[in-house]
Amino acid sequence: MDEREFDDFYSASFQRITGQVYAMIGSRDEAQECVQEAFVRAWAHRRRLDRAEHPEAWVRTTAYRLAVSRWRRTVRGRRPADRAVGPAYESAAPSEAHVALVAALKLLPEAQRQALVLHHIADLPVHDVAREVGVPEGTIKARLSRGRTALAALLADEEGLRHA
Amino acid sequence: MPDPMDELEHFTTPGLTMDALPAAEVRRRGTRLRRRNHALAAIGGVAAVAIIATPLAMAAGNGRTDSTPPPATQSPSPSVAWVREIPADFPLADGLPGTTRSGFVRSDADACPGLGWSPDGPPATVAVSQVVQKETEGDWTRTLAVYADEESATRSRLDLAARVAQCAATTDGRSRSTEDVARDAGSLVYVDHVSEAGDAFVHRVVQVGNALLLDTTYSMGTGDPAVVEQAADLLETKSAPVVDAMCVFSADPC
Repeated sequence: MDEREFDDFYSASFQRITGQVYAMIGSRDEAQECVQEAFVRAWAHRRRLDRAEHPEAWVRTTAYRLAVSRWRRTVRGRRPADRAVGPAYESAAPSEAHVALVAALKLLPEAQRQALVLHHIADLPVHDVAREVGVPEGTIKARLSRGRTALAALLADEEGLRHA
Repeated sequence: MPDPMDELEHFTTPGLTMDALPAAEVRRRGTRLRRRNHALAAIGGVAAVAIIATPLAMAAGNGRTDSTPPPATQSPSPSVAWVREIPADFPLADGLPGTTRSGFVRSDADACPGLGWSPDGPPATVAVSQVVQKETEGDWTRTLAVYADEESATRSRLDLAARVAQCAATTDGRSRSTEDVARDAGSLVYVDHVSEAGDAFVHRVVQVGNALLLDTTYSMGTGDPAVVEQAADLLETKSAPVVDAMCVFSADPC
């Protein structure tokens, strides 16, 4: 991957991957930082990226692992908040439904949330999700089924509370 | 109530909260990261002096691991003629197809800065060989260290285990920290975390008779125990044929 190809890849996929990682971890700032760092590594490891069948999946997986890594370290009290990307600026407030969806996703077990995001937001077929996560297709189907049920219940509860 | 799957499928990121870096800056940082990882893979000699000067008693200080060599049960009879040279056809590079260097240059397995394993001991090795597979993000290093006898090899392994335990206790919470992952009667696995973002060197040490095999690989995302486990499994899988061939160093050579 040469400089131009990398720049095109970065421009085309940065925001999309950030959205997917955001849905997985529930924090836009953290998602953006991790995706940025994953692209830095993608360039550092570009020979490996060249061999990867799905470079976008490589970046997404790396960003997600970084997010999990940071989260665990933060939980262990090892890491202060890192803001390595750029200055924060105001962005449009998300809709109520969007906030509810992100909040509901965060309540799901990690494996179900990851399967739902990869299948429904990243639009990957089940066998690609299975490959990316490293488990059999049947496991992904089960996680999707349980995840959908749980998500619907969580959103229904939230809707009920709002109308109460 | 809206369909939750519709909501998911139309999920959008409502604007980024920070300025994304320009692509050229991402590449610049990536290039710097690659250089740093190569440098980290190349250092190693730094720890040796401190290791040699460090009393073994201090290394074993926290009592989590006994550095005293096991008693007679693991000490073979004096009549054992230990193999003290590495056979010319020993398959040290098995599983590392891209090996670019052989012989022995210098690579200590750091447990933390200033403490780790060194071929200079004590106890010192009588023969040592090393292969390196070059990777873009850090080398895979494999070292075979042969000692005068099984007791010396055991002492070296247990001393390293004690240092790993000591490092894990003293580096907790630091940006560079040591993780004591696993150990059993003949091996240990530990991680030298070198950044807060999950970059680390994963080490696996296996003893067979009077020899130690030390495998080191670079990994990222190691704040996640599953990634550490995956890296440790990979080390075990890739080194399996070499460990099998190490039977030549056992009390009853193959």
